Amino acid sequence: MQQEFDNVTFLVGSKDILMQMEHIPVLPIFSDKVREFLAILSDELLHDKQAKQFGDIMAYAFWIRGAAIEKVYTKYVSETHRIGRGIAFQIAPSNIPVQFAISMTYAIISGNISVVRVSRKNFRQVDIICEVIKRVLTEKCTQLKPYICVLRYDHDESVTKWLSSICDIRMIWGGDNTISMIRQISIQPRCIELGFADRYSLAVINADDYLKSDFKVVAKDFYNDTYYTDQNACSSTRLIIWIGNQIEKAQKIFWDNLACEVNIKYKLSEICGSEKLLKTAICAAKHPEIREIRQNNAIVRIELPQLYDDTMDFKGNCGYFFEYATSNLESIVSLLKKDCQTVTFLGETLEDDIHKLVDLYGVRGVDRIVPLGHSIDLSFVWDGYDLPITLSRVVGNA
Amino acid sequence: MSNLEKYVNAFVEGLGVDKDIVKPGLEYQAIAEWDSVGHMGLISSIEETFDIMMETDDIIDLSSFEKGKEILATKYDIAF
Repeated sequence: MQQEFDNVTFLVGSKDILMQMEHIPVLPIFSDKVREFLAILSDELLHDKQAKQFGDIMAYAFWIRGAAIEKVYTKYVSETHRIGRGIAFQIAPSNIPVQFAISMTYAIISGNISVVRVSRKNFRQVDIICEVIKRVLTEKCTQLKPYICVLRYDHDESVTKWLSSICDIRMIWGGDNTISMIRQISIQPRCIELGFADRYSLAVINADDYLKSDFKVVAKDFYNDTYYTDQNACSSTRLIIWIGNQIEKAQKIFWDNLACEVNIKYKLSEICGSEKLLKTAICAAKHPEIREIRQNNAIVRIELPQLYDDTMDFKGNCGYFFEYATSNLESIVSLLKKDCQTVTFLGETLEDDIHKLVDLYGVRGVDRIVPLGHSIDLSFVWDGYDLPITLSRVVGNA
Repeated sequence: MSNLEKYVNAFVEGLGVDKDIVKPGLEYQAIAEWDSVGHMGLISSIEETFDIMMETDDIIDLSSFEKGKEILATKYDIAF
């Protein structure tokens, strides 16, 4: 079958490179070539004038910096005879601009050949990163040129079909609808597929421990966990569980300090403001006993008298939070369902307590338990997958 | 090159500033180049220079030219 690429824009790579990918050798995980490429890419991005205007590009560049990758590598150094699976076809999400680069990083560090389709939305970040990748591949890391393509195309199912027919890994970042649509398109029998679907995340705060903390630092941390991505990330906190004795006092200080941070840093769009009103109205129609506390339009809190099974059906963005106070941590077990991704915590014993809950109840959700302020940290373990392991294969000897 | 010279160079490279201003008294946020974004470039540059990987707490604590020297000396065995 002769595949047409007339409607495909190559942000990195070319039609020729793409057509050759099936014949390119895979690499070992954490290969010298890829580590060197990432270190140079990081360096170039960290010093690029345009890239510096975007905090998310900088965070990505910092994550792949030489020293950090070398440290991660030490964890995998004993994994001998582990190599890439082949072509990793990835579909990037339309809400997180730099996710395509993060996904590419997972693919190539695991030894694969990477093809990413980026969203039709024209994010500046995508163009900037792609320009730098191209430059690095042309000037310094020419050996990796056959391994990386970034493309954009409109509704052209034939390209998705063709890529799906040749790939060994298919990774879909996106909403449930996107994932199920793409799943209609078949893949090779031995191809593995990972769907990174919509998830929700929550925070657990021990009020008494909070009162002993630095309120300004916590406000900054919480801002980064939520407002920084307009609560668009799967890892963004949607619901805060308060435990401890002095909950009311802690809540007042917490929200007042957050308001200071939000007033300085956050610009609320009008659409977001009105969407929040609508969310509350819909939620209240089903659960009239909820109470809305409007700090100001940028911070809307919904106090829940109990945890409803469908609470997350009403989740909102841009500063929209559910709150629930309880004396018994076990009451949150009902929230730790498949869709629950990250639990952030603030409290001395909470990390252990939450791990124990997960183990004791064998819940289907919770892929990460991290301190408050670290929800958007990048990691090679994501959504419960240790990606360098999942995306590679081991040549066994027994 | 002495460690101090290397350290100064890491600032010059990492922040993209002139050598003249890299001296005791230089603090985080005191110049436009050393903001939260510039800080990441600086840390990366320091790590590369001394072949180390800094802990998150140290990355946050490195808030001045002097403080950076102190952290490198006490935690990473780099003598100045």
